[in-house]
Amino acid sequence: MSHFRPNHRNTRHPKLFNFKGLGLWHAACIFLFLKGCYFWLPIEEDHPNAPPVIEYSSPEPENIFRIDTPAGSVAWVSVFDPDQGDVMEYMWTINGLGPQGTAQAFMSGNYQGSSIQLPLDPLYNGRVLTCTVFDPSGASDRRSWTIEVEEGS
Amino acid sequence: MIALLLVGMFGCASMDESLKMGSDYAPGGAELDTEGNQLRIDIIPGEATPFLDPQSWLVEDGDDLGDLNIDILPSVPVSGQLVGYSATPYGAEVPGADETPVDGLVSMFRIGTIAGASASTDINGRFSLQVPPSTGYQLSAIPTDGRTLPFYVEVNSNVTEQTDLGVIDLGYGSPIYGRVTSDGVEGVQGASIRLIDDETGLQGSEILSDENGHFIARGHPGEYTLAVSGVTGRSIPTIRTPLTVLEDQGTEVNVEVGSLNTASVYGQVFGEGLSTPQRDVRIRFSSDQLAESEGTLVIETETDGDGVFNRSLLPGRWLAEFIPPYESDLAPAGMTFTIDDNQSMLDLSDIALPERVTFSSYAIDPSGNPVSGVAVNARELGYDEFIRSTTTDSDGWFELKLAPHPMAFMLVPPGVDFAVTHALIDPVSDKGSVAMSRGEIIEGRITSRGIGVPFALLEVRDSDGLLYATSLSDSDGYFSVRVEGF
Repeated sequence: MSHFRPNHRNTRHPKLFNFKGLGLWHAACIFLFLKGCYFWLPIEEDHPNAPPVIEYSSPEPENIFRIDTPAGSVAWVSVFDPDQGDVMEYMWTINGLGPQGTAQAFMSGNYQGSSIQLPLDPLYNGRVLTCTVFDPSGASDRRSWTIEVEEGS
Repeated sequence: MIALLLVGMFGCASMDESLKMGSDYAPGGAELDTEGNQLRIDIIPGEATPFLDPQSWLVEDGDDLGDLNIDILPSVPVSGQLVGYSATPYGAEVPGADETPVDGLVSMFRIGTIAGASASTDINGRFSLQVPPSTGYQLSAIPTDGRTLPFYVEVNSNVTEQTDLGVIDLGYGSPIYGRVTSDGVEGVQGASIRLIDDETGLQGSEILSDENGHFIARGHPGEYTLAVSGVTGRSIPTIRTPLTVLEDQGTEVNVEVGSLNTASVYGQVFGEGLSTPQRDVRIRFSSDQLAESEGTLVIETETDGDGVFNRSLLPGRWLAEFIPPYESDLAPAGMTFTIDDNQSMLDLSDIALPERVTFSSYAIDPSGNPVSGVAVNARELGYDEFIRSTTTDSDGWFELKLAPHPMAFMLVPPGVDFAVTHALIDPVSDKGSVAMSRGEIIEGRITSRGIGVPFALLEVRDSDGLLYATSLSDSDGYFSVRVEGF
């Protein structure tokens, strides 16, 4: 649709530096050569990964996820990760049915999260819905709810 | 927890504030406008406010979208007793009795919203359910046995406080009877029959035709549609017949479903290159035009461990959708085929599912600068509408493995500089970036009796339920989100 701009950027990294054909690394090497330092190990700071934390959710932890309206019901989690910029992955599963494909991610201020809408279907009754969130380092947090479908709704 | 503490500390003040809302205060916002394109905000409170249930706020024409005051309330109990006529009441010396307790389901739903609840009746026909105070509820009472009792529906019920509905008497109703036949004469056993109220779309409980194809249902006077369809394992096309039920008069409806002679349709599903059989692939057959019936039919099956499927279908034109599990690297595919009259078998041969393709792009602002931290959701069009999600990095870049079909993208920015942006993108042929739109800001505060509702999920939708934006209220209940024009 109108928001898609064809052929805008086709490279992975936007060009940040350009001076008469010199790239950023050229300039850095010339600078180090002039300063008499040929090789300098980069300083690496030790930042241990902090795992993501599911801070809020609906339903509450260990509560029942009740589906009793014609539109189905929505479950959601919001996640806080102290490591700014970490991209979260969410996996919603239902025991016996495997991963669910209709969850969508959202962002809101310092929080990011995921929500899923399950339809009113007796198939889900008594099963357990679990949301697991992973950060890029594989650290995770999860919440589970037993699903209750009002039969005949 | 904070909200509970505040409620405890300022309970009296908040009650005062609630009373100050005056007589024009309408819980749930405006009334549903089915004609216009009305904005709806669904609120799904979280664990910070366990006393609040999911509910919707309908925006009134003229409301200031930059300063919405959404006050939601804890649910209140609605109770009553469901009774009706019973031909064989328990313990009666003379058969037939009015106002006997009924086994059934009572529901209250605010039409066009997510608010509502259902409850089954107990042995005495009593029920109790909890719904958020609001206007425009639809109350329905559906007996478990639709052969002997009619269902009841009432629209535009308002709930503002704890309510005892008293006794809901289903009465006796008028009979709707007939026979389901195939090939003009043969009775069809086990067909599913449902009575649908035309005004509300409410369905009665399922009734099955007997061994001769006969059925009986009961209904109050009004306009209905009788829907006949198959049950699991029966290829019976869905046929809808309009009817009018009159006071104290029976209505005869006979339904002819055409020939039920089926053909065996089979094949095997593989990955790309036909090398690996695929198990647990969901196959959905949808009739386009049945040869001997005006009805429609949708039948689902799955492939076995060898990727093989086999299903009996009626003659006609069909669409088949092959949908691999969500976690598979393969994408769904579709095909059409025709089963001729008198054909007993059809080999769909080997079906190869394409692999998902890697699609990468950038989220950029209108000036072309990258936008980081954008939640990207790509939803398949059709099939099971699977959604693949990721987040843009500091360069605004993202990558997803998608089905090689056009996808509906929704990009959710982290702040309020940009709107939740929608785009239709073909991951195979489209190369470029997605420009975030500025959109229109919607902000305000969610409160309950004047106290902010913290950390509640908000979904901004239109009348058709199309999702425009998702956000989370802050610690004081304030929210701010931008949406594209609707």
